[in-house]
Amino acid sequence: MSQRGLTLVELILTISLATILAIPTALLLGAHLQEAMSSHDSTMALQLGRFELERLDSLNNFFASPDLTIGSTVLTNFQGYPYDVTRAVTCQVGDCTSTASSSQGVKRITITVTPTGSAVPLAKLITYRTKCVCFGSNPPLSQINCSNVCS
Amino acid sequence: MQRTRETGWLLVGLIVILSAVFLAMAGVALALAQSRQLLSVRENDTEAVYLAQAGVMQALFDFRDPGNGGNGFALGQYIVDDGPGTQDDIFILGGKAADFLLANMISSVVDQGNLAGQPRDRLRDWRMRNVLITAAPVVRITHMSVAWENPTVPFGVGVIRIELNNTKVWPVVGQISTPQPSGTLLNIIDHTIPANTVRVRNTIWFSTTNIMSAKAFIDVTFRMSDHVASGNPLDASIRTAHYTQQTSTRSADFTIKSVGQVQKGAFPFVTWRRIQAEYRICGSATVPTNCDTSPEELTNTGKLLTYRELTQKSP
Repeated sequence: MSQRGLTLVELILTISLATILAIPTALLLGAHLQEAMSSHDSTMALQLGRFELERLDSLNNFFASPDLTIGSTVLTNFQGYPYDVTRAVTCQVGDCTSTASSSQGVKRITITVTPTGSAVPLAKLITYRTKCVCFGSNPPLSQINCSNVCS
Repeated sequence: MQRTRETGWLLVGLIVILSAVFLAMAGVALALAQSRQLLSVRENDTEAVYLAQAGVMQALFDFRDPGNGGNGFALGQYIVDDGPGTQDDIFILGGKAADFLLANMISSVVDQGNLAGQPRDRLRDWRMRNVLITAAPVVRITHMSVAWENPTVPFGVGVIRIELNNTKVWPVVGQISTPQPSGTLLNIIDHTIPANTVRVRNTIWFSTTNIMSAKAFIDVTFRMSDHVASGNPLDASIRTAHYTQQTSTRSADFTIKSVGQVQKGAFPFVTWRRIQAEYRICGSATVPTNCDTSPEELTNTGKLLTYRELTQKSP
Protein backbone atom coordinates (compact mmCIF):
# COMPACT_ATOMS: atom_id res chain seq x y z
CA MET A 1 0.00 0.00 0.00
CA SER A 2 2.73 2.36 0.98
CA GLN A 3 4.40 1.82 -2.39
CA ARG A 4 1.13 2.50 -4.37
CA GLY A 5 0.44 5.73 -2.36
CA LEU A 6 3.82 7.12 -3.24
CA THR A 7 3.22 6.50 -6.94
CA LEU A 8 -0.06 8.39 -6.86
CA VAL A 9 1.55 11.39 -5.15
CA GLU A 10 4.33 11.35 -7.69
CA LEU A 11 1.86 11.20 -10.53
CA ILE A 12 -0.09 14.16 -9.19
CA LEU A 13 3.11 16.14 -8.72
CA THR A 14 4.29 15.26 -12.20
CA ILE A 15 1.02 16.30 -13.80
CA SER A 16 1.08 19.55 -11.86
CA LEU A 17 4.61 20.33 -12.93
CA ALA A 18 3.87 19.33 -16.49
CA THR A 19 0.92 21.69 -16.52
CA ILE A 20 2.97 24.53 -15.08
CA LEU A 21 5.61 24.02 -17.79
CA ALA A 22 3.16 23.31 -20.58
CA ILE A 23 1.26 26.61 -20.27
CA PRO A 24 4.21 28.92 -21.11
CA THR A 25 5.48 26.42 -23.63
CA ALA A 26 2.15 26.45 -25.44
CA LEU A 27 2.11 30.26 -25.37
CA LEU A 28 5.63 30.31 -26.73
CA LEU A 29 4.73 27.88 -29.45
CA GLY A 30 1.80 30.02 -30.49
CA ALA A 31 4.03 33.06 -30.63
CA HIS A 32 6.54 31.10 -32.70
CA LEU A 33 3.95 30.13 -35.24
CA GLN A 34 2.61 33.67 -35.45
CA GLU A 35 6.09 35.10 -35.88
CA ALA A 36 7.00 32.55 -38.50
CA MET A 37 3.89 33.40 -40.50
CA SER A 38 4.54 37.12 -40.09
CA SER A 39 8.14 36.78 -41.28
CA HIS A 40 7.02 34.82 -44.30
CA ASP A 41 4.41 37.45 -45.14
CA SER A 42 6.87 40.30 -44.74
CA THR A 43 9.48 38.61 -46.90
CA MET A 44 6.99 37.82 -49.62
CA ALA A 45 5.53 41.32 -49.50
CA LEU A 46 8.97 42.92 -49.76
CA GLN A 47 9.94 40.78 -52.72
CA LEU A 48 6.67 41.44 -54.53
CA GLY A 49 7.03 45.17 -53.93
CA ARG A 50 10.55 45.08 -55.34
CA PHE A 51 9.35 43.03 -58.28
CA GLU A 52 6.81 45.68 -59.19
CA LEU A 53 9.25 48.58 -58.84
CA GLU A 54 11.92 46.80 -60.88
CA ARG A 55 9.32 46.09 -63.54
CA LEU A 56 8.48 49.78 -63.65
CA ASP A 57 12.20 50.57 -63.96
CA SER A 58 12.41 48.31 -66.96
CA LEU A 59 9.82 50.40 -68.80
CA ASN A 60 12.07 52.64 -70.81
CA ASN A 61 9.47 55.32 -71.28
CA PHE A 62 8.45 54.94 -67.70
CA PHE A 63 7.12 58.42 -67.05
CA ALA A 64 4.55 58.30 -69.83
CA SER A 65 3.76 54.62 -69.37
CA PRO A 66 0.09 53.76 -68.77
CA ASP A 67 1.30 51.94 -65.67
CA LEU A 68 2.33 55.30 -64.23
CA THR A 69 -0.87 57.18 -64.90
CA ILE A 70 -1.84 59.37 -61.96
CA GLY A 71 -4.13 57.37 -59.70
CA SER A 72 -4.24 54.19 -57.72
CA THR A 73 -4.31 50.64 -59.07
CA VAL A 74 -4.86 47.51 -57.01
CA LEU A 75 -3.33 44.36 -58.44
CA THR A 76 -5.08 41.51 -56.64
CA ASN A 77 -3.34 38.20 -56.13
CA PHE A 78 -0.20 39.73 -57.55
CA GLN A 79 1.79 37.29 -59.66
CA GLY A 80 -0.46 34.50 -58.43
CA TYR A 81 0.38 34.98 -54.76
CA PRO A 82 -2.19 35.73 -52.05
CA TYR A 83 -1.09 39.35 -51.78
CA ASP A 84 -2.47 42.56 -53.25
CA VAL A 85 -0.13 45.22 -54.61
CA THR A 86 -1.43 48.77 -54.65
CA ARG A 87 0.43 51.09 -57.02
CA ALA A 88 -0.37 54.69 -56.14
CA VAL A 89 0.97 57.37 -58.49
CA THR A 90 0.71 61.02 -57.55
CA CYS A 91 2.25 64.17 -58.96
CA GLN A 92 4.92 65.18 -56.47
CA VAL A 93 5.84 68.43 -58.16
CA GLY A 94 5.50 70.17 -61.51
CA ASP A 95 3.39 69.17 -64.47
CA CYS A 96 2.93 65.41 -64.69
CA THR A 97 0.37 65.29 -67.46
CA SER A 98 1.75 67.37 -70.32
CA THR A 99 3.72 65.49 -72.97
CA ALA A 100 5.82 68.53 -73.90
CA SER A 101 9.48 68.02 -73.09
CA SER A 102 9.73 71.61 -71.88
CA SER A 103 7.22 70.92 -69.12
CA GLN A 104 8.78 69.02 -66.26
CA GLY A 105 7.29 66.96 -63.48
CA VAL A 106 8.02 64.36 -60.83
CA LYS A 107 5.73 61.46 -60.11
CA ARG A 108 5.72 59.81 -56.72
CA ILE A 109 5.18 56.07 -56.79
CA THR A 110 4.10 54.26 -53.66
CA ILE A 111 3.91 50.49 -53.72
CA THR A 112 1.98 48.98 -50.83
CA VAL A 113 1.64 45.24 -50.36
CA THR A 114 -1.15 43.73 -48.26
CA PRO A 115 -2.46 40.20 -47.80
CA THR A 116 -5.32 39.64 -50.22
CA GLY A 117 -8.51 40.94 -48.68
CA SER A 118 -6.72 42.77 -45.88
CA ALA A 119 -5.88 46.41 -45.38
CA VAL A 120 -2.86 45.76 -43.18
CA PRO A 121 0.27 46.88 -45.07
CA LEU A 122 3.14 44.44 -44.99
CA ALA A 123 5.57 46.44 -47.11
CA LYS A 124 5.67 49.97 -48.45
CA LEU A 125 8.19 51.27 -50.96
CA ILE A 126 8.34 54.85 -52.24
CA THR A 127 10.30 56.31 -55.12
CA TYR A 128 10.11 59.10 -57.72
CA ARG A 129 10.22 59.24 -61.49
CA THR A 130 10.98 62.35 -63.49
CA LYS A 131 10.11 63.16 -67.04
CA CYS A 132 12.14 62.70 -70.20
CA VAL A 133 14.83 60.61 -68.56
CA CYS A 134 15.48 57.04 -69.55
CA PHE A 135 17.86 54.35 -68.42
CA GLY A 136 20.55 53.38 -70.86
CA SER A 137 24.19 52.78 -71.56
CA ASN A 138 26.85 54.66 -73.44
CA PRO A 139 28.27 54.08 -75.97
CA PRO A 140 26.63 53.53 -78.33
CA LEU A 141 23.58 55.59 -77.73
CA SER A 142 21.71 53.96 -80.54
CA GLN A 143 21.35 50.72 -78.60
CA ILE A 144 18.81 52.29 -76.32
CA ASN A 145 15.79 53.99 -77.79
CA CYS A 146 14.95 56.90 -75.58
CA SER A 147 12.96 58.73 -78.17
CA ASN A 148 9.55 58.22 -76.56
CA VAL A 149 10.23 58.93 -72.94
CA CYS A 150 8.51 62.31 -72.99
CA SER A 151 5.37 61.54 -74.90
CA MET B 1 14.62 1.24 -0.44
CA GLN B 2 15.05 -0.39 -3.79
CA ARG B 3 11.37 0.22 -4.76
CA THR B 4 11.47 3.94 -3.65
CA ARG B 5 14.35 4.78 -6.05
CA GLU B 6 12.57 3.08 -8.95
CA THR B 7 9.26 4.90 -8.49
CA GLY B 8 11.03 8.30 -8.42
CA TRP B 9 12.12 7.99 -12.06
CA LEU B 10 8.69 8.93 -13.40
CA LEU B 11 8.81 12.36 -11.81
CA VAL B 12 12.49 13.02 -12.45
CA GLY B 13 12.28 11.84 -16.03
CA LEU B 14 9.33 14.03 -16.89
CA ILE B 15 10.89 17.06 -15.27
CA VAL B 16 14.05 16.55 -17.28
CA ILE B 17 12.18 16.05 -20.57
CA LEU B 18 9.92 19.07 -20.07
CA SER B 19 12.87 21.23 -19.07
CA ALA B 20 14.70 20.22 -22.22
CA VAL B 21 11.64 21.03 -24.33
CA PHE B 22 11.28 24.39 -22.62
CA LEU B 23 14.91 25.26 -23.21
CA ALA B 24 14.64 24.24 -26.85
CA MET B 25 11.57 26.41 -27.31
CA ALA B 26 13.32 29.34 -25.68
CA GLY B 27 16.18 28.91 -28.12
CA VAL B 28 13.83 28.88 -31.08
CA ALA B 29 12.09 31.96 -29.73
CA LEU B 30 15.38 33.79 -29.57
CA ALA B 31 16.26 32.73 -33.11
CA LEU B 32 12.89 33.90 -34.40
CA ALA B 33 13.26 37.23 -32.67
CA GLN B 34 16.65 37.72 -34.32
CA SER B 35 15.20 36.67 -37.65
CA ARG B 36 12.48 39.27 -37.25
CA GLN B 37 15.04 41.95 -36.52
CA LEU B 38 17.08 40.99 -39.57
CA LEU B 39 13.96 41.10 -41.69
CA SER B 40 13.27 44.58 -40.40
CA VAL B 41 16.77 45.65 -41.36
CA ARG B 42 16.31 44.16 -44.82
CA GLU B 43 13.02 46.00 -45.25
CA ASN B 44 14.67 49.30 -44.36
CA ASP B 45 17.59 48.45 -46.61
CA THR B 46 15.31 47.91 -49.59
CA GLU B 47 13.26 50.99 -48.86
CA ALA B 48 16.40 53.12 -48.59
CA VAL B 49 17.69 52.30 -52.05
CA TYR B 50 14.44 53.42 -53.65
CA LEU B 51 14.56 56.61 -51.61
CA ALA B 52 18.07 57.20 -52.93
CA GLN B 53 16.73 56.69 -56.43
CA ALA B 54 14.01 59.23 -55.66
CA GLY B 55 16.79 61.68 -54.82
CA VAL B 56 18.36 61.23 -58.23
CA MET B 57 15.00 61.88 -59.87
CA GLN B 58 14.43 64.99 -57.78
CA ALA B 59 17.86 66.33 -58.75
CA LEU B 60 17.17 65.72 -62.43
CA PHE B 61 13.82 67.44 -62.20
CA ASP B 62 15.37 70.47 -60.52
CA PHE B 63 18.12 70.52 -63.16
CA ARG B 64 15.61 70.44 -65.97
CA ASP B 65 12.96 72.68 -64.46
CA PRO B 66 13.53 76.44 -64.12
CA GLY B 67 12.19 76.59 -60.58
CA ASN B 68 13.76 78.00 -57.43
CA GLY B 69 15.36 80.81 -59.40
CA GLY B 70 16.86 78.79 -62.24
CA ASN B 71 17.93 75.42 -63.47
CA GLY B 72 19.92 73.36 -61.04
CA PHE B 73 19.56 71.29 -57.92
CA ALA B 74 20.34 72.04 -54.30
CA LEU B 75 22.23 69.78 -51.95
CA GLY B 76 20.83 68.74 -48.61
CA GLN B 77 18.03 66.76 -47.06
CA TYR B 78 14.58 66.18 -48.53
CA ILE B 79 11.74 64.55 -46.58
CA VAL B 80 9.82 61.99 -48.59
CA ASP B 81 7.54 60.54 -45.93
CA ASP B 82 6.98 62.07 -42.52
CA GLY B 83 7.02 59.61 -39.68
CA PRO B 84 6.44 59.98 -35.98
CA GLY B 85 9.25 61.93 -34.36
CA THR B 86 12.52 61.36 -36.10
CA GLN B 87 11.26 58.34 -38.01
CA ASP B 88 11.28 59.93 -41.43
CA ASP B 89 12.01 58.55 -44.86
CA ILE B 90 14.38 60.99 -46.48
CA PHE B 91 17.03 61.37 -49.15
CA ILE B 92 20.12 63.51 -49.06
CA LEU B 93 21.84 64.96 -52.13
CA GLY B 94 25.57 65.58 -51.97
CA GLY B 95 28.83 65.28 -53.86
CA LYS B 96 32.11 66.94 -54.70
CA ALA B 97 32.80 69.88 -56.99
CA ALA B 98 33.66 67.82 -60.06
CA ASP B 99 30.34 65.99 -59.80
CA PHE B 100 28.53 69.21 -60.60
CA LEU B 101 30.65 70.21 -63.59
CA LEU B 102 28.80 69.39 -66.78
CA ALA B 103 31.29 69.48 -69.66
CA ASN B 104 29.23 69.20 -72.81
CA MET B 105 31.50 68.02 -75.61
CA ILE B 106 28.68 67.26 -78.05
CA SER B 107 28.86 70.65 -79.73
CA SER B 108 32.65 70.92 -79.68
CA VAL B 109 34.70 71.39 -82.84
CA VAL B 110 38.30 70.65 -83.79
CA ASP B 111 39.51 73.07 -86.46
CA GLN B 112 42.20 75.67 -87.06
CA GLY B 113 42.48 79.29 -86.05
CA ASN B 114 45.14 81.96 -86.08
CA LEU B 115 47.14 82.31 -82.89
CA ALA B 116 50.28 84.40 -82.56
CA GLY B 117 50.36 84.86 -86.31
CA GLN B 118 50.17 81.17 -87.22
CA PRO B 119 47.36 78.74 -88.01
CA ARG B 120 46.95 76.32 -85.09
CA ASP B 121 44.77 73.38 -84.26
CA ARG B 122 42.20 74.03 -81.57
CA LEU B 123 39.44 72.24 -79.71
CA ARG B 124 36.75 74.81 -79.19
CA ASP B 125 33.20 75.53 -78.17
CA TRP B 126 32.60 72.83 -75.64
CA ARG B 127 30.16 74.00 -73.01
CA MET B 128 30.63 73.94 -69.24
CA ARG B 129 27.82 74.31 -66.73
CA ASN B 130 27.53 74.33 -62.96
CA VAL B 131 24.43 72.22 -62.40
CA LEU B 132 23.87 73.42 -58.84
CA ILE B 133 21.44 76.14 -57.88
CA THR B 134 23.32 76.93 -54.68
CA ALA B 135 26.64 78.68 -54.22
CA ALA B 136 28.20 75.85 -52.23
CA PRO B 137 30.19 73.83 -52.91
CA VAL B 138 32.17 76.10 -55.20
CA VAL B 139 32.82 74.71 -58.66
CA ARG B 140 36.33 76.00 -59.30
CA ILE B 141 38.87 74.56 -61.73
CA THR B 142 42.49 74.85 -60.63
CA HIS B 143 44.29 72.49 -63.02
CA MET B 144 43.67 70.95 -66.42
CA SER B 145 45.31 68.27 -68.50
CA VAL B 146 44.73 67.30 -72.10
CA ALA B 147 45.44 63.87 -73.55
CA TRP B 148 44.96 62.57 -77.09
CA GLU B 149 45.35 59.56 -79.31
CA ASN B 150 48.90 58.76 -80.47
CA PRO B 151 50.32 61.35 -78.08
CA THR B 152 53.79 61.56 -79.62
CA VAL B 153 52.68 61.74 -83.24
CA PRO B 154 53.90 64.05 -84.64
CA PHE B 155 56.92 64.63 -82.47
CA GLY B 156 56.63 67.77 -80.36
CA VAL B 157 52.83 68.10 -80.48
CA GLY B 158 51.49 69.81 -77.39
CA VAL B 159 49.07 72.23 -75.78
CA ILE B 160 50.14 75.86 -76.01
CA ARG B 161 47.17 77.83 -74.67
CA ILE B 162 43.84 77.37 -72.88
CA GLU B 163 40.94 79.79 -72.81
CA LEU B 164 37.87 79.40 -70.62
CA ASN B 165 34.91 81.72 -71.05
CA ASN B 166 36.90 83.52 -73.80
CA THR B 167 39.63 84.38 -71.30
CA LYS B 168 43.14 82.99 -71.25
CA VAL B 169 43.72 80.89 -68.15
CA TRP B 170 46.96 79.24 -69.23
CA PRO B 171 49.82 79.97 -69.59
CA VAL B 172 49.71 82.35 -66.69
CA VAL B 173 52.41 84.52 -68.29
CA GLY B 174 52.64 85.19 -72.03
CA GLN B 175 50.33 84.48 -74.93
CA ILE B 176 51.44 80.92 -75.59
CA SER B 177 53.50 78.29 -73.85
CA THR B 178 56.06 75.90 -75.13
CA PRO B 179 54.12 72.79 -76.27
CA GLN B 180 53.12 70.67 -73.29
CA PRO B 181 52.86 66.93 -74.02
CA SER B 182 49.72 64.84 -73.72
CA GLY B 183 48.67 64.31 -70.10
CA THR B 184 50.69 67.15 -68.58
CA LEU B 185 48.99 68.68 -65.54
CA LEU B 186 48.65 72.39 -66.23
CA ASN B 187 48.23 74.84 -63.36
CA ILE B 188 45.72 77.31 -64.74
CA ILE B 189 44.45 80.59 -63.36
CA ASP B 190 41.63 79.41 -61.10
CA HIS B 191 38.35 79.52 -62.94
CA THR B 192 35.08 79.54 -60.99
CA ILE B 193 31.75 78.71 -62.56
CA PRO B 194 28.95 80.21 -60.45
CA ALA B 195 25.79 78.26 -59.72
CA ASN B 196 23.35 77.88 -62.61
CA THR B 197 25.87 79.38 -65.03
CA VAL B 198 27.16 78.27 -68.42
CA ARG B 199 30.59 78.87 -69.99
CA VAL B 200 30.40 78.64 -73.76
CA ARG B 201 33.56 80.02 -75.36
CA ASN B 202 36.24 77.58 -74.31
CA THR B 203 39.25 76.71 -76.43
CA ILE B 204 42.37 74.57 -76.20
CA TRP B 205 45.12 75.54 -78.65
CA PHE B 206 47.68 73.06 -79.93
CA SER B 207 51.09 73.58 -81.49
CA THR B 208 50.11 71.72 -84.68
CA THR B 209 48.17 72.50 -87.84
CA ASN B 210 45.70 70.05 -89.42
CA ILE B 211 46.81 67.26 -87.07
CA MET B 212 44.37 67.16 -84.14
CA SER B 213 41.28 66.82 -86.31
CA ALA B 214 42.52 63.36 -87.26
CA LYS B 215 42.85 62.19 -83.66
CA ALA B 216 40.30 59.61 -82.62
CA PHE B 217 39.90 61.19 -79.19
CA ILE B 218 40.95 64.14 -77.07
CA ASP B 219 40.37 63.92 -73.31
CA VAL B 220 40.19 67.06 -71.21
CA THR B 221 40.54 66.57 -67.46
CA PHE B 222 39.49 69.21 -64.96
CA ARG B 223 40.90 69.19 -61.44
CA MET B 224 38.82 71.05 -58.91
CA SER B 225 39.63 73.12 -55.83
CA ASP B 226 38.25 70.70 -53.17
CA HIS B 227 41.76 70.05 -51.91
CA VAL B 228 42.38 73.68 -50.99
CA ALA B 229 40.34 73.55 -47.78
CA SER B 230 41.82 70.31 -46.54
CA GLY B 231 45.34 70.89 -47.80
CA ASN B 232 45.45 67.34 -49.08
CA PRO B 233 46.00 67.14 -52.88
CA LEU B 234 44.25 63.77 -52.91
CA ASP B 235 40.98 65.48 -51.98
CA ALA B 236 40.77 67.22 -55.35
CA SER B 237 37.90 65.88 -57.39
CA ILE B 238 38.35 65.50 -61.14
CA ARG B 239 36.17 65.17 -64.21
CA THR B 240 37.29 64.05 -67.63
CA ALA B 241 35.45 65.21 -70.73
CA HIS B 242 35.76 63.03 -73.79
CA TYR B 243 35.90 64.35 -77.37
CA THR B 244 35.63 61.87 -80.22
CA GLN B 245 35.13 62.27 -83.92
CA GLN B 246 31.71 60.66 -83.61
CA THR B 247 29.24 63.01 -81.98
CA SER B 248 27.26 60.25 -80.32
CA THR B 249 30.20 59.06 -78.23
CA ARG B 250 31.26 62.46 -76.91
CA SER B 251 30.70 62.95 -73.20
CA ALA B 252 28.11 65.33 -71.78
CA ASP B 253 27.35 64.16 -68.30
CA PHE B 254 27.36 65.03 -64.65
CA THR B 255 27.11 63.04 -61.44
CA ILE B 256 24.41 62.82 -58.80
CA LYS B 257 25.08 61.24 -55.42
CA SER B 258 22.06 60.45 -53.32
CA VAL B 259 21.59 58.80 -49.95
CA GLY B 260 18.32 57.14 -48.96
CA GLN B 261 17.74 57.08 -45.22
CA VAL B 262 15.18 55.08 -43.25
CA GLN B 263 14.67 54.96 -39.52
CA LYS B 264 11.87 52.74 -38.32
CA GLY B 265 10.97 49.15 -37.60
CA ALA B 266 12.20 46.70 -35.00
CA PHE B 267 15.73 48.05 -34.95
CA PRO B 268 16.11 51.52 -33.49
CA PHE B 269 18.88 52.67 -35.78
CA VAL B 270 19.14 54.38 -39.14
CA THR B 271 19.66 52.54 -42.42
CA TRP B 272 21.44 54.26 -45.30
CA ARG B 273 21.90 53.29 -48.94
CA ARG B 274 24.05 55.46 -51.17
CA ILE B 275 23.92 55.52 -54.94
CA GLN B 276 25.76 57.41 -57.62
CA ALA B 277 24.15 58.13 -60.95
CA GLU B 278 25.78 59.38 -64.12
CA TYR B 279 23.37 61.49 -66.18
CA ARG B 280 23.94 62.31 -69.81
CA ILE B 281 22.16 65.31 -71.28
CA CYS B 282 20.72 64.97 -74.78
CA GLY B 283 20.76 61.22 -74.36
CA SER B 284 18.32 60.33 -77.07
CA ALA B 285 19.70 58.71 -80.17
CA THR B 286 17.44 60.92 -82.22
CA VAL B 287 18.93 64.24 -81.13
CA PRO B 288 22.59 63.68 -80.24
CA THR B 289 23.91 66.36 -82.56
CA ASN B 290 21.62 69.13 -81.43
CA CYS B 291 22.72 70.10 -77.97
CA ASP B 292 24.47 73.44 -78.19
CA THR B 293 21.96 75.68 -76.45
CA SER B 294 20.75 75.85 -72.87
CA PRO B 295 17.15 74.83 -73.64
CA GLU B 296 18.45 71.79 -75.51
CA GLU B 297 20.82 70.85 -72.72
CA LEU B 298 18.10 71.16 -70.14
CA THR B 299 15.00 69.79 -71.76
CA ASN B 300 16.10 67.32 -74.42
CA THR B 301 15.60 63.75 -73.38
CA GLY B 302 18.31 62.67 -70.97
CA LYS B 303 19.69 59.33 -70.06
CA LEU B 304 20.89 57.74 -66.85
CA LEU B 305 24.03 56.00 -68.01
CA THR B 306 24.96 54.20 -64.81
CA TYR B 307 23.73 53.53 -61.32
CA ARG B 308 26.13 52.16 -58.76
CA GLU B 309 26.16 51.83 -55.03
CA LEU B 310 28.68 53.76 -53.00
CA THR B 311 30.39 52.54 -49.88
CA GLN B 312 31.62 55.77 -48.35
CA LYS B 313 29.70 57.22 -45.48
CA SER B 314 28.80 60.64 -46.83
CA PRO B 315 27.46 61.45 -50.29
